[in-house]
Amino acid sequence: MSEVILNISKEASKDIRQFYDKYAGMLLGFIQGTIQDPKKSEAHLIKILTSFILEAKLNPQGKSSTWMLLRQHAQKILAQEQLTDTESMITSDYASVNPDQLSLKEKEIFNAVYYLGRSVSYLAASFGEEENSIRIQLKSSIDKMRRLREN
Amino acid sequence: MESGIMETYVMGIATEQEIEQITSLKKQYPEFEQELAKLEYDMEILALGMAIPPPPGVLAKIENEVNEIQLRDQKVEKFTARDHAAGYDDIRKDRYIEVESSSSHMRIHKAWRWVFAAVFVLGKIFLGFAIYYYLENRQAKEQINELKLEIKQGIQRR
Repeated sequence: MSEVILNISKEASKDIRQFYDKYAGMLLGFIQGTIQDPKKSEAHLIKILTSFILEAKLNPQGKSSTWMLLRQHAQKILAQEQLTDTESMITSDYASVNPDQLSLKEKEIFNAVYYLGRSVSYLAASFGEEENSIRIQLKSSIDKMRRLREN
Repeated sequence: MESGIMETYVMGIATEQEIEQITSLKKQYPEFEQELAKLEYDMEILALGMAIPPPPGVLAKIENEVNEIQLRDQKVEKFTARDHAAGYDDIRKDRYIEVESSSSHMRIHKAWRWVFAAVFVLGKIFLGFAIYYYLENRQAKEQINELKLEIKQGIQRR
């Protein structure tokens, strides 16, 4: 679309493009971890990015990273539409990149937190474990994935 | 760092208490802040590893959506501003309420009391004069009648 007929400024358009180039692929990967249908994922990608841009979170003033805010924003929108609470993501998940390195429990905890934004207390009650144990298993799953990336 | 608090924070599920704790630790220990930034960065890199290239045309659709929403919001703002200006006159009118009074009393300036007092006193004086001249006149008529009677009787005697 030509920038002439756009109501957004050239600078804003440039910001959007940069933001899109950096995060659109990551976000689509996140969405497709929960929604298998490519058309639906694409529609949600547009919806989530548009609302995020309009809320002017492209350059957050706080210390939180943009990706962290964007992922939380996506989680919120997908949860509102009750799209993430499915079993499918447990099998097609972020953690399954290297499934051998994570225990099944670690994968479940990571998925529930990463895709659904489940709290530690919720998971502790679901698994019948101490909150501290959930926190340590979440840390363990993330540590393993970080180590794998470094290797 | 071993408690897993950093991970819950980066994953966005930290409680208010944990967020306060993180904020305090960041201020106290720069190495903690560095470790947190590294974790956030690593999470971003992991997400990058899972990225799926979006199909062509998505950026144009997003720009179009943003543009349409902004235009719509601008129109709403204009309408709101115009309605506000029009509404201001109504507000001014509404500020004063027309009252149809059915009271039989009236209020006047205090200076009028001297006028009323003067009118009252003058009224009394004129009344006094009127009564005086009325009585004078009646007495004069009686005297005339008496004189007329005396003259008539004098003529008859002669």
